[in-house]
Amino acid sequence: MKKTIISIVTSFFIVFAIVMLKNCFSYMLPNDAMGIRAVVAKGHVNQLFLGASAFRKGIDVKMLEEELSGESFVLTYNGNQPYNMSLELKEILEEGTVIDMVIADFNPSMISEDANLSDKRLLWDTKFSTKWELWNEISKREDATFYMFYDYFVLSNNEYMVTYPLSYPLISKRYYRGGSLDDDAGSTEDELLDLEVVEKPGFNNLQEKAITEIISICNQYGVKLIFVESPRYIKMAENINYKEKSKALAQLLKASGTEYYCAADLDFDNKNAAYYTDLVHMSGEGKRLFTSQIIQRIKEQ
Amino acid sequence: MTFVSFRFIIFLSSLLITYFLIPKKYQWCLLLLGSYVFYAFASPHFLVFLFISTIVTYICGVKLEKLSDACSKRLEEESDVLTKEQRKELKMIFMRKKKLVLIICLVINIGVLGVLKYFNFFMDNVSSMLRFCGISYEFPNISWLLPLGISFYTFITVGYCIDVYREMCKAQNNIFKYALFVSFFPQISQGPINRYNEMSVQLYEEHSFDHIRMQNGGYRVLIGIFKKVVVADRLGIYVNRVYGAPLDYDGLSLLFATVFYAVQIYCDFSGYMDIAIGVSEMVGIKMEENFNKPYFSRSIPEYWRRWHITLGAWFKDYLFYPVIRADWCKKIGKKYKKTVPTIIGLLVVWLTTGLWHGASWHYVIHGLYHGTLVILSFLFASVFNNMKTKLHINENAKLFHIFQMMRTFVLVDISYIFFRAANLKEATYIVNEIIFHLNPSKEALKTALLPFTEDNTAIAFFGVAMLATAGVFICEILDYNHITVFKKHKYLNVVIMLTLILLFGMFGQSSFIYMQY
Amino acid sequence: MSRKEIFERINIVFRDVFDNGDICIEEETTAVDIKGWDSLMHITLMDAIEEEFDIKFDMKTIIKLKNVGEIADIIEEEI
Repeated sequence: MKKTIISIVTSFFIVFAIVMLKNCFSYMLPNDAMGIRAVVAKGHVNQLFLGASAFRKGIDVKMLEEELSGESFVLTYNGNQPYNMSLELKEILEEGTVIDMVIADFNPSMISEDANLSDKRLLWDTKFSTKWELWNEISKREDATFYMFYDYFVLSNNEYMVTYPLSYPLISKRYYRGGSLDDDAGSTEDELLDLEVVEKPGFNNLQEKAITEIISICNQYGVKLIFVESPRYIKMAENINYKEKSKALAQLLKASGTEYYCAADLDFDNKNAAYYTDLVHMSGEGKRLFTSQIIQRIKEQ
Repeated sequence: MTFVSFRFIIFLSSLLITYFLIPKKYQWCLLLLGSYVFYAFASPHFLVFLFISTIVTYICGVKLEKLSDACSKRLEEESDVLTKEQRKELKMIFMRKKKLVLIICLVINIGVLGVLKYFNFFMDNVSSMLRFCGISYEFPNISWLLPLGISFYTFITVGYCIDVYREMCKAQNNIFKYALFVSFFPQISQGPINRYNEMSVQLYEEHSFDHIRMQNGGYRVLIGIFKKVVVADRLGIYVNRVYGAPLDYDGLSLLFATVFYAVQIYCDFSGYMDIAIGVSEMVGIKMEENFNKPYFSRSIPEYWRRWHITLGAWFKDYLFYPVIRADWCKKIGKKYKKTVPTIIGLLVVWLTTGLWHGASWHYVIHGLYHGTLVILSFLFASVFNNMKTKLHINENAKLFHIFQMMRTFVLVDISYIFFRAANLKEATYIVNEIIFHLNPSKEALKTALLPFTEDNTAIAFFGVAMLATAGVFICEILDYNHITVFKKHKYLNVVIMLTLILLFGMFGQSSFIYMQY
Repeated sequence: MSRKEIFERINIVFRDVFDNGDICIEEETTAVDIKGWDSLMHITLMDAIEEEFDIKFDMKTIIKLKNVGEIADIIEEEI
């Protein structure tokens, strides 16, 4: 009986040790192709693109390299919300990284959301204090459970950790300066119209505060900040909730004197299905067109 | 309430503590209460069907035994008076009465299962046949869930009745004790399909607390949880993704998913059995084993002696033997070839096995596929033996055994395509793609490795799934070759398994789902 | 019929059913000892013994029979 109890206690102790090591030190492992650590490792980034996967899919890093002077880097996490973006930016700047300009994702879809972690890779890339700050906000949600806590701290990224020597090189090969090297084929009008639009209404307090925080951090560190919208396919762009949120976000940025470019301000035909793989993400063709539009705006600064 | 849940841990802990504190003669009562509480939580609306099955078969058992006793009494009392012919006549009269009682009981018991499980399937097929004849009529479908474990407890109760009929066991006169045998919670949802003789000896006797038995039971439960949440549920994510939309995937992905499914279903089912058997052991009751390293079988018949063992044994004793011993079957054997009754028996068994697994044609095909292989194996046994002699194949050579095991695995895995696919159309598509459109290119490998194309952690996930599969495989190989160097370090194994469960267990959906933005 | 005679006749049946002239059954012989004596062949064997000795086994007997000695016991009883 005694040996059984010792075995069980030993297991818990080993798990606790592994989890603490992972949460405290995972960000120190080599991580040069994408994510926060890659940005910090650069030391000085001229143009930092900060957003979610739509942003990542819409930006052609090779074009940026050719057309823009200096170092560009794409920092995106799936489902990146303004709150998460503010935490990421804070961590990067507090580590002493110099950033000349931040091109942030004007993303109306995310501003109605509660605190969330939709990309566990964020946990791998950040320090414990950032992880804890994000968890604090998530735990305030009405639907927060113990299992969420367990999933967040104990379960996240264990597969990546265990297969790191193989996974890291394989995954990194798909990225260049944080941007995706994929060149996806476009879709068709029928396929896109078949897809469902899911947009919640409202401007979440946390996200509103976070956008203000992003503006404030950039001011504090002397970083030029502009917001750019990755145009959604017409079916999504015309959704009533999406339009309202877009307006609210634009109003907030205008009031704070921050420069922004909505889809309407860009020369991008969002009725052309060939530019999209779904309602949100762009194909290779769409990516190149959108990137050329951003480059133009940046050069105008 | 499933075995892997907080609720079950609380239920089991309270049951065990009470079990060893109360006077031993009431332990079986507590088990009965616990079993009904378990069933009430898991399947509350269907308790009535469990009642019906229990009561009908209880009455049948008591009645059958009364008839057997009456017959024995008459024979004994009139032993001096009756001639051999008269004795035979008397036995026949009682036999007919017993048969009638048994038939009524079977009709009710299996009838309930038949209606609940197969009504929609039957009606859909009648509609199809009418459509074929030009009549368009859609019978209404009844949408209802099945009572938990109905396929299992129906077989357990039917087996009991037939055993009493055959005078292989004594009927249980105490309805509550009988109800415990039927509803015993470790066996109720997925078996094993236990026999009354083996269970009754243990269920109603007194059990003292034995810490060795508790530890052994707990160890078995831990193995089961490991197989289920670390291996099966993990592989299930890949399999469900690909089999959920097979037309979107190419041959290589479908092949991976099919092989993973073989591991998933084994770990899921045998893991559940480990938990059931382990829990049962903790209360002092040893249940039948249901799996014995099935993927190390060297032939399909052997596979069915190692996979879902109690189901195969049940069909053998209660369906196969009665069919081929029936007079009409023997007549056919005498008229045609001696092997015909065996073939008929096997066809009946495998058709029933297919249907038992589910009310759908792809399950029937699965059953008949295995039935065909078993029949061919039976018919061509001597041909295969001659071939082996002619080709100078050494039957005892390890290499030949490995060939046989791989061949059997491939045959079984093909059947899983029919078992897992949503319908016949998708199953045939998958078979077609794997056989004729398997293009193992780098592109195909990338798609196969990353079915979750937006989520680059899929490589890591896939890697761990492969490691988990390899781990299970290595453990089984060592066990098969009786290498116990790792097995005997039980405490180290507990540490390893518990650590892996806590770090890699899939305890349900991840809380943080990628929202496609 | 003596037990020895019964065993001799049973042995002939075994050799015929399993197509193996080298079989020599004993009291304790079980399915494990005879190659091919599985659940399918068990019934064939029982049918053949029934025919040879003109007796009828009931299902209880067929399922419960553990070794050849028990078969001989039943034959002795029935004759």
